[in-house]
Amino acid sequence: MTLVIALSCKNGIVITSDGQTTVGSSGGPVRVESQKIFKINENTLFGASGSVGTIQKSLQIVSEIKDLESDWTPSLMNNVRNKLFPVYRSEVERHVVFHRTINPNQIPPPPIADIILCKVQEDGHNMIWHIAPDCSDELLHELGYGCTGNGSIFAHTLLKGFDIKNMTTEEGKLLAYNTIKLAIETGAYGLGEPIDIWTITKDQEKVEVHRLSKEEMMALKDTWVSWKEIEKELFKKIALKELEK
Amino acid sequence: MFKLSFKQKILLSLLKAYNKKAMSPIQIMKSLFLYSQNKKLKEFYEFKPYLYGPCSFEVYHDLRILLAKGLISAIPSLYSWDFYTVTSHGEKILGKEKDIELEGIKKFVVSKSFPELLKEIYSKYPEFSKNSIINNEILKKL
Repeated sequence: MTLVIALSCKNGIVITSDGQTTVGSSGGPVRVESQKIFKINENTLFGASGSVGTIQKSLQIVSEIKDLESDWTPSLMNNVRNKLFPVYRSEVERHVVFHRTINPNQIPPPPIADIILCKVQEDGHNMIWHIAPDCSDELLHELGYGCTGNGSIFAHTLLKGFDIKNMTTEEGKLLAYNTIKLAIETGAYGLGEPIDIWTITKDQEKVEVHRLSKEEMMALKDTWVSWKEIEKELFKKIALKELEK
Repeated sequence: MFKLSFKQKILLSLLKAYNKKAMSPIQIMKSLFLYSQNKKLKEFYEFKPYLYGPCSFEVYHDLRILLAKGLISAIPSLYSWDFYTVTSHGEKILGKEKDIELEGIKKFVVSKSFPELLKEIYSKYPEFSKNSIINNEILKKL
């Protein structure tokens, strides 16, 4: 159970996830804390939802493509998809063959991976690239954000109306925290703490990938509470003005 | 035995001051900031203009250390700030000494609501409000 979101801000990208995974055990599914965002190289981050095993295989494949550190071209992106597709197809085929022998009328959903790759190009241009389980893909940075996971509906709802592309990554971190936090508190299907936040920024000539420390996360949580407190105070003022009329 | 740094000692003393009244991180941060401004300390937490005004990530680091050492305790909250107070072990380490300045600052800070506290700090130290998500115009309306 996952929510990963990537925000395309004016000075870089903020990528955030919840921190809970459901994994199989012989006694039934169990919840464990897990990392869902990974550094691929000095300017690229990988986030995914889906089956843990398929995500691990995808991460390994993507990590081995050294050209991903250079600017992304259509042929490079096609190459990435071509390397992932045989793995996904083989996972689905194996799954279907196995479950058909048990009950051909009730085949459970196959183990898939839904990937988001983020990068800041040499010219400072943000890239948010979504690769779906069938290896179809889309570029989402023009939309301002991308997301994956069964908590995605929260992202679409909570990010609606925000001018993300004109935000700084500092503001983006707060918006990302708000989105994941509210999704965790509301969603009844296994999203959980800890929240993990990374940024890719370009400062003058250097692109930098950064994972927020525990202290930075504590400060961000306190900022989020401050925001909510001020919202409450403002709402009181609005309500009072209505009464005065 | 764990040896407190000067900064950790001030932080712990702050939590002990004014009848050990529990404090939010915002109140702690603003109190330590005011203390550093009043005392003009050179070797102290370095505050920078953050999303909620003056902030030093090192304060968070020290809160984690003091928690791990059992010198302070936290009342965690899902929808509000965590509140911190000194433990009996923390009090014992500090001894009976009182810092009058910290007492006064804490009394002042905890008597203010959150918007009032921001208004006070931002009006006196506007350079530390430049990255705040809550701008002065909004604060004037509250």
